[in-house]
Amino acid sequence: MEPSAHGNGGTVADRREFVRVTSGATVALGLTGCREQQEPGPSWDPSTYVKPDRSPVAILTAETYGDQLPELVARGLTMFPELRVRNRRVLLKPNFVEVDQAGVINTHPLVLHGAIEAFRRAGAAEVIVGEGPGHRRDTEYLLRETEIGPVLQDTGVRFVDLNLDDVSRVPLLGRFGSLGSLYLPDTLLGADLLVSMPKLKTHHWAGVTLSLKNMFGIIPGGVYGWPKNALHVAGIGNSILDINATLARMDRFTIVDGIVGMDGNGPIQGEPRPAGVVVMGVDHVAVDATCCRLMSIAPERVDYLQRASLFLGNLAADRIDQRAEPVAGRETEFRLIDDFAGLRSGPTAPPG
Amino acid sequence: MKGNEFAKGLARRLIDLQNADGGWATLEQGVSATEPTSWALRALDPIVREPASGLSAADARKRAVHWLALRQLPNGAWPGSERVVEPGASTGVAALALAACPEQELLGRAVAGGNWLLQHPGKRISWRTRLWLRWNPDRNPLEMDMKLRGWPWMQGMWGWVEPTSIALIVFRVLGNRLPQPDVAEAIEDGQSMLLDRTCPDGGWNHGLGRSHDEDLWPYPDTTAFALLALGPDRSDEAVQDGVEALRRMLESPVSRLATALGILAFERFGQDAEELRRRLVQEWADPFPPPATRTLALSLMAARGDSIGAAGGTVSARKRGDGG
Repeated sequence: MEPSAHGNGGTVADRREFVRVTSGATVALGLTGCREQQEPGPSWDPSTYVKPDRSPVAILTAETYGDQLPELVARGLTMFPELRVRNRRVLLKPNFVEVDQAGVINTHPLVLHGAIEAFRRAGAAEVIVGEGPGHRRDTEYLLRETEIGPVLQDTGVRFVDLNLDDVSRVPLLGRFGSLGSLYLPDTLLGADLLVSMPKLKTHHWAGVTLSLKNMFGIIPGGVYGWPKNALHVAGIGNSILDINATLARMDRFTIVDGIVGMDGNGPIQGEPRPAGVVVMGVDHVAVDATCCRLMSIAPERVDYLQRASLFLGNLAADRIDQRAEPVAGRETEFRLIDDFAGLRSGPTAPPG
Repeated sequence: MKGNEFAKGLARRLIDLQNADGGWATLEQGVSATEPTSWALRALDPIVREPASGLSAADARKRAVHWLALRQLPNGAWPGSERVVEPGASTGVAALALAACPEQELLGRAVAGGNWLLQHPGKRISWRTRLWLRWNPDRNPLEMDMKLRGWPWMQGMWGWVEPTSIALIVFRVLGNRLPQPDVAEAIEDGQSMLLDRTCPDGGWNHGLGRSHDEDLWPYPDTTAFALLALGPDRSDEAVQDGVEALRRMLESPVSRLATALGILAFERFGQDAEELRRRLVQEWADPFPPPATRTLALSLMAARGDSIGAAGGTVSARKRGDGG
């Protein structure tokens, strides 16, 4: 059976139990509440992180995937004059998950193409594309079946399977989960600028999957396996925070493919949901918060985003400077599975 | 391998990629790692015993054996690579490679690796979860038997299809050289786990047949590994469905890895794979993307008509007159 883009969720209790069973936690934690168990003690060093006073986020409109994307991404980059690209090694990290005939699971190849061209025009010394798919070990299959391969060949860009790259052990700067350290790909550690390029999607375990969650793809399957089970055992939210707390010392940028997103039972079995936007910014928390608002989701109700906002970036709308288009008027109601119905923004939403 | 120029080309390429320390990297360049070194050894070892092959693989084999021997831990396991100190699923591949070698000393190392695998199955669900599942038999969203552990990628994690398949092949190959009844129980658990994790339309993916009330779909590579592990002697419907699923998945070109594993699996089941073998030659004509070492080694085995998974630790090396 090929990947489908439909379906509905099971019961709330079923999913919570599934998470606990597969994450190694116990049923005794109870069937109420989604907040993960966090390691005791401080989870980050306050002296390491300085949240910006304000965070710019650009929303650029694009109704279709087409030849305009290199210009669109290039225009977006000019809205962030503080971003240093010239003579730097740029690692683009898209989201490749599955065979994607409908073009709604993975970062669209034309958005990736647009980013490759835009960063080259901006003077990057080298642009590299790297990804480590979480379920499929046969990356060649994904590249061939998703039209990503032709983009890589046409542009001549170097592709690194981050699952199989050489690795170095890195102590984690976050202590939300019990991982302590992770092996990370050398290509990532050698990059001057890391660009997260997620798809705008809801996610059946995390609520939403955007620029922060997309970083699961840098964790090498060659060490942790397919799937990267250690991240689940430590708690998905905790792992998102620990990974991003560690990457925060790198220069980072994010470009979200929200031209056609996915809602419902994401990240692979949801429905296509056109949103007509490409969202860009330096502050990943602010970008993800903006994406949530565009999806009619309250970002402060997304557990890991709310925790990330304590030290990694700005969540509050009044701390985010919208560039290009405003959020107002661009919102699209992304369907949420029952477990995450409480994330819906608006006065009638249940308390988070 | 006489006349099989394609296989010779793959073998030469594999030998050329060997690192100075005797190991192979996961990709074409990089630090040596246990899994690619083991697959490379597994692919090159039978060539050494074929003087007519016209290939000089003896030195590469000797250095690969030395690399693996030097890195085996006192407990029998292998670390992942020069940089990854923790033992894991690559222990199974190393044991498989050494078990195919004729030297008794190497067989002893394979047995030590097999013993380590026996002692390190997948994570066990807690007694509280077992209790909950007993009270709520209709609310198991996984629709699978959580008591079956299989083998994990990393020590202390849950069992998944590929490492379980490799462990099963190791147990079958080493057979009664491993302690009884432990190995018989392990084989039973592993086989039951694989049969429990099939996709509804047949075949296997990484290890979940259903999620969130929806069917998931199989992958060619994991389906082939599971079939190699279960073998052709079983009458289970799941095995027959898996063969059919693999055939459907390989109706059109997928990847070099999928084709190579498809050949190995179909021939293990006594089915013709000549068309796939011709496809493999065509697929290797395209240099993109650069292959992983494992893909190269498995392609070499497929091109030669070697086998994986037969009991007794032998590599059948059914010679092919011409790989085309």
